[in-house]
Amino acid sequence: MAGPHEQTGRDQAGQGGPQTLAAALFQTETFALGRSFRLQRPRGAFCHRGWCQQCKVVLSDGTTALACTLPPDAAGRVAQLPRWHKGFGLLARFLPPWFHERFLLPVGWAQQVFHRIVRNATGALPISAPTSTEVRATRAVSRTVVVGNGAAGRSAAAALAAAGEECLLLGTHPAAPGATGEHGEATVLGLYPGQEGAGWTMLCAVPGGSLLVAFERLVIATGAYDRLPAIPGNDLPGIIAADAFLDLLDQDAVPAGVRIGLFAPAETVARLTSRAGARGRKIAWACAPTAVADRRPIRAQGQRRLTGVTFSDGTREACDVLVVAYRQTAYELMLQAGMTAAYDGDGAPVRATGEARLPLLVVGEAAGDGLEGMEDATRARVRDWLATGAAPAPVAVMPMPQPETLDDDLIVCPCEDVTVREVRQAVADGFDNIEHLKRRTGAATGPCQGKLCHSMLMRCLSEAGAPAGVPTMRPLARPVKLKTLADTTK
Amino acid sequence: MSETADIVIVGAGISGLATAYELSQRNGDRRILVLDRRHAGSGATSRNIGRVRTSQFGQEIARFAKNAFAKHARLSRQLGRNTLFWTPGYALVFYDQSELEIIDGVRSMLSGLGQKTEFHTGREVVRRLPVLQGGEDPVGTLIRPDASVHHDTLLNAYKHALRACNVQIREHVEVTGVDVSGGRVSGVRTAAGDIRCETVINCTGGWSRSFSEMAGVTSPNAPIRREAIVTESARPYMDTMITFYRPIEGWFHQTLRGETVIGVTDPDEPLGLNHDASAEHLMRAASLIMAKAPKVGELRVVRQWAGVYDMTPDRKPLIGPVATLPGFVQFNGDNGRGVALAPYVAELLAEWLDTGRRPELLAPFDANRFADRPDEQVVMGDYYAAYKTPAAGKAGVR
Repeated sequence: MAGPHEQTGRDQAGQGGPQTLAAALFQTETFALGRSFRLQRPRGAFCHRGWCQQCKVVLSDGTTALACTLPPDAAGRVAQLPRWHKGFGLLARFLPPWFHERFLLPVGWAQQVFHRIVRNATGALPISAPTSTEVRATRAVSRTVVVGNGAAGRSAAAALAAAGEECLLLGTHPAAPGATGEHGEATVLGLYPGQEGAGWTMLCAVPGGSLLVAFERLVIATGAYDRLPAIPGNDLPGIIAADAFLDLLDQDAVPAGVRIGLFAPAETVARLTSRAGARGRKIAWACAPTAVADRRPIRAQGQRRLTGVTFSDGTREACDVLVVAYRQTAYELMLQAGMTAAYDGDGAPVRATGEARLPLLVVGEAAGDGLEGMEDATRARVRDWLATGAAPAPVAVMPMPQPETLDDDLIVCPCEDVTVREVRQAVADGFDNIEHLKRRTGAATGPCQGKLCHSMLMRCLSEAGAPAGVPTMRPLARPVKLKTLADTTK
Repeated sequence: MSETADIVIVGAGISGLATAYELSQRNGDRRILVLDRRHAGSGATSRNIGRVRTSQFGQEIARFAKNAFAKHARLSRQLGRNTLFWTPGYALVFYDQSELEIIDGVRSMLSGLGQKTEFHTGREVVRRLPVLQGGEDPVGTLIRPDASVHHDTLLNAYKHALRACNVQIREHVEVTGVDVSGGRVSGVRTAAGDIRCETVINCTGGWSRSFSEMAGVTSPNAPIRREAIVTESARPYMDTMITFYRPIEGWFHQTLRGETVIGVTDPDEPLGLNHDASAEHLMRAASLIMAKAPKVGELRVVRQWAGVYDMTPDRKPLIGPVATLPGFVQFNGDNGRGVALAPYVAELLAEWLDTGRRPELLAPFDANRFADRPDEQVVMGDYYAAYKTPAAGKAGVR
């Protein structure tokens, strides 16, 4: 598959310096931005695009935000977290998420005191002062909606328009200049079926508020994203997605002195190396396993940030930045639309399968189309879909080479800090169904909405002989502030 | 060849598991099967927010809720697992003077039951509930030291306790029919084979009316969708759980894990089974919170979901053996109070089934009470509309 990791829709003009706080800090080798919720481990941005949710910072005014969504000049406003919280992280290592079920203290007043201590000790952030901004909810109607305004989405919208079909193009990139029927900088949060067969509604976060679109048919062109490796230490600051690496190169935010390691399929290694070279950055080493027996990373090392990677043959390579390039199709809207998740074995990504509850076509990277010939392929898919209703199943992307057995200390769910040990224990205790497992451990309930953990959870379940599934995919696809959903103009 | 059980409980939610537990505590020799067509708790139980509220508006419910609260308080010890029962308190907050009169009656009714309440008006309300700072001015609040449990933890505690009992929970087994012979229940049919049994307990909540119909039993209950949203965790900023009824019913509180759960009802919500969350609810909930407690507006919403209440025309549960079909037992009509009441209802229902004598506290909830008014329908609308003002003398409905 040629051509993932290319930013086709992003406006390249005006780049040359860090555009976000996360990129600006990356440029100064500040990879660790905050700490995790339960174990108080150091955390930094993995995706630099707003979906991984690992780069949360507290600002001096008490508000919290993702560093990758803040302007670069916000650096002076980042508040330091109290150090004493780390002690609770050490304590939490000995307490599984369900530690409370055995009585640590007598039920009654002592327990109430205990609740209070535990509540205050979590790594959760305080709520911040109210800030008032005008928020507006706008509405639109379009029979067909194309989600994703990259190359595939634009081609699909053009093909629909050429066929005389009413269509609205929505996506996170800025709208093309002078484009009609396109809504840029829009993040789709949820798909909602109407009652008794009425049409569907889509909720999007847009600058200045929200957008509700009534629609009947959906084209998904949201592409894919890079996966978190299934090795212990996978949450260390310094491990980044290939998409993030390319964005950072474009912003000249990759520091010159850092040792960069690549963990990627061979053809991606070549492309990433040449892109880095074009910006005067060298790749220290690359690991591109092609066969099951090949050398592969089994552990990421480091205390406060990444310092090296250990491989399956016992060797070790030093690095400050590990770029990971194994893809996962963006399946969240497909599952919200009623498809189910399939898992194809060790290291395989989650794949959407089955029937959607509405007419749905997947195009672009998730349909297996590379950047070359993307336009023609997408047009052909749209024409077929309009003519016959044919909607090919989303593709399975290349599996990520993983250790033969998952290490007990591997963090499956970085949002809630759930380890493989805890997942295995829960499964052994009878929580051997994803719905029970999720409620028992908290895995997959965090703000990334399962994007980081689903495939690892599925592997744990299938290892135990349990059905591998993901929990019911509910809106929202991405967390949004309450205040941005209220219409203050009414 | 078919399997045999003494009792088959349909629905592995809180009602089903609590009933199985109480029955086996009374007589451990019986073979009890609990069936669910999905996973245990997949209905209303795991879509819950786990409030254990005693400040009820009807006297019969309020009296029952007082005992149900006590049951919850001792349940952790009984089951050998902590259900995360804690008492953050429960506040009804009023924004309309007319509500204060209704609440006056509720207060005296509750105090007649020995339930103390705190009552504040004017500025004192926001002083007592600082999370409301900066929002609309409330006119009064009624606060009870009520509790909350974690619904999943509660269900897990029952599951744990049931391991030591002669009870089998079978998930993903759908009951497709109820066998009747000689005018009484003789078994159930499932996709995984038939099961002979003399007693079937219907604990299917929102699905219970159609399940009863499968057995030829008519009941007046009906499901209605309720929705909720949850934010990511924040450090503790509020204890007392908050609810308001006018102009629209809404509620929010912070859980032990630090998440904030929020919900708003839609007065025009139609009756019926619907488990899809809606964009309208999300936006209405956000608007309501921004109007009443703007301090929490910076919190990020991570998820929304929907579940159903199983409503009855008189807002009271539907409990007990059905007179027209011996062997068929109802445990439904939660009216949104399932988690709060179920453990105690189960205890009394088990006593009823074993002794054949109806416990006095369950008399108002007898499943046969609609026999002489079969056409009665569930009518939704303003929350207070279902309750006559207790101040008028007679508490509760009718």
